[in-house]
Amino acid sequence: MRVLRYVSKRLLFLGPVLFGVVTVVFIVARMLPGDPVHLLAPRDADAQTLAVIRTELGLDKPILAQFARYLTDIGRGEFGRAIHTGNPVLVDIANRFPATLELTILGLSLCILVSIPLGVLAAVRRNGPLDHVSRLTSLLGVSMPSFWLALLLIYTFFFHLDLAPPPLGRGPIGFDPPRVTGMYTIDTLLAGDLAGFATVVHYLLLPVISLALINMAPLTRLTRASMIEVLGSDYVRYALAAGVPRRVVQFRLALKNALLAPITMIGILVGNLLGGAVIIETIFAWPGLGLWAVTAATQSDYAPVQAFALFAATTKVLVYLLTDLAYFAIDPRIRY
Amino acid sequence: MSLLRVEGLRKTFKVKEGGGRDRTLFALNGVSFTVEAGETLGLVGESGCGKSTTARCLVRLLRPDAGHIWIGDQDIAALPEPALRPLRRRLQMVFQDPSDSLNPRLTVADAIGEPLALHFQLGPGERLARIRELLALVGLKDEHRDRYPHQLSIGQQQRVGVARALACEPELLILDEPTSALDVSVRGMVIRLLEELRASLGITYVFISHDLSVVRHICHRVAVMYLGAIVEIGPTDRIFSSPSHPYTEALLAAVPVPDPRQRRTRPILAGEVSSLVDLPKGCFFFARCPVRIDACATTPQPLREAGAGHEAACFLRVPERAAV
Repeated sequence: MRVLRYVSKRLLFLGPVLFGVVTVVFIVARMLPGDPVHLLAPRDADAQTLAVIRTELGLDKPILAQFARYLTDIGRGEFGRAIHTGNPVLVDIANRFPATLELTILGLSLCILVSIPLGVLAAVRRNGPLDHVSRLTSLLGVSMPSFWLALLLIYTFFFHLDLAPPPLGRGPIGFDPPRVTGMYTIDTLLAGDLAGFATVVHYLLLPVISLALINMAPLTRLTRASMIEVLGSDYVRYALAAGVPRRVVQFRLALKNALLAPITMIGILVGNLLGGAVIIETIFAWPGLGLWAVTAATQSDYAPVQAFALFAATTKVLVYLLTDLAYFAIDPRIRY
Repeated sequence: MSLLRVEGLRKTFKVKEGGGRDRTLFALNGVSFTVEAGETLGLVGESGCGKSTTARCLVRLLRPDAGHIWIGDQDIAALPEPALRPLRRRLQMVFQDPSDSLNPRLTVADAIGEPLALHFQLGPGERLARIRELLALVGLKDEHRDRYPHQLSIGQQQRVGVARALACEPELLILDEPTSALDVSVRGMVIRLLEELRASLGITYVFISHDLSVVRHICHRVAVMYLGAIVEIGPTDRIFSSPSHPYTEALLAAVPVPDPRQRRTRPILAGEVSSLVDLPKGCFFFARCPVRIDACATTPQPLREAGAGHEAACFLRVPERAAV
């Protein structure tokens, strides 16, 4: 019951947070250089045509009036139209979100599956060879910008070794599995198309690995640090002195207590994923939300930029809420 | 036969120095003592003198490099873990910081039940009865059973630590500064609890502390450690009334006296503790000793008999005729 009350209290905060996001994004979008009118107008349009389009878009009104109209539109579930695709924003999001979701889920899963065991083993065999390897890769991962890492992967595995497909989206041109979920891995499997599935995985490889590598460093280091702290605590010493076998102490007792901090970190990483995907999607021409938002931003296409920010903010707030609820399940010390 | 006989215990650690060089830190340099059944031996000395390393070797959290640890007729110093496991029941440890020594995810009942499950085959009913019995033994209420450590006061946490250690009916309890994390009023209560348990269970303690007034109160015998070696050992009243090692004298002089008008006459130490990496060649205490002579720098000082059951490692204070 207390959990429910806690959740509803947290959800109440969602309103003010989102209003803040909407306001800031509205202002920032209008500070972007460029004029959306030119997107719609023909190249040689005269001043009068431009003025007509401007009136149609409502951009001739005072900024406060535009903001008020924007808010009432959102209230009615009307997010406007993306000028650069010509579709309503919600249609674009629905079309493109599965591509982003597939990429980020796989990227983060790979990241977690590698970093947590790596961090744990590095802590258990402290200063052993694996610890040094993980320290070195983490250092590289932290100090390398994601776009540079992605470009290096493309250069090595596509250009030189020819092991990966070109960084041109989710599949070869014309590749379009029957749409059910919009996530190609699932859709090809549902259609029983194993060759298609292989193609999808092939195209996913580099972007997923890039995304995983970028997020691996902090998670590995944190898992290691957290694990070392727990392994050095007196209750671990006690368990050893009481005769609990060392492996049980390390991999069951200590690990459970050490996972709290990494779970927080995973929450933060998930919250940041949409933002991180922007860069990876741009480099791999991945037709997801990130690429869509970037294109919109570079063309001063207000509606999609605003909708994307709102979408990302909502996801983030909800993910943080889920993370907090996860603590509740894991740590008996936490009571709301 | 003594319950615990420690002979020539040595332990070194590898440490990295600034230049990345590995150096050897000599934490324990031949520690020997015995503890009789029912007795309480105090182990005192300043931070870094090897008290806790000794404790961890005794319960075999650390494996000593050399020496023997006889529990009855079993030498556990080099025993491999599987052979050691059934013996672990016989000696248990209580840690300094109760909040760090209890797993935050286990309730009181789970914490006490853990050693029970490891060492005894008990049904659920028997187990619960035993947990209740142990809680009562350390002065906790039955309602504390389902609490988590963070819901207990620090004094209660330490009582759980004691109950957990007692759960497998050990013969010897190593108490590693069990009261130094507690404030004074709670300290008194835990000391009283330990005394009561000693009286009712006949249990043997090795009591590690740097609080000399507590040691004087609870211990039958005291061993004074310096640089990983025992420099003086003997009955508590002898150590406190007529210490035979200059370091013991200085240690006793450092005990605060709650009387501002009293003038101190005992020596206060100058100088630094010698490094455990570069052990002194002669007397370990040479660098800080107020009564040293040149010969001390080159003459190692073994323990010499200074009276009945009283030994000290100083050839100036313990004359040759008394040497064994």
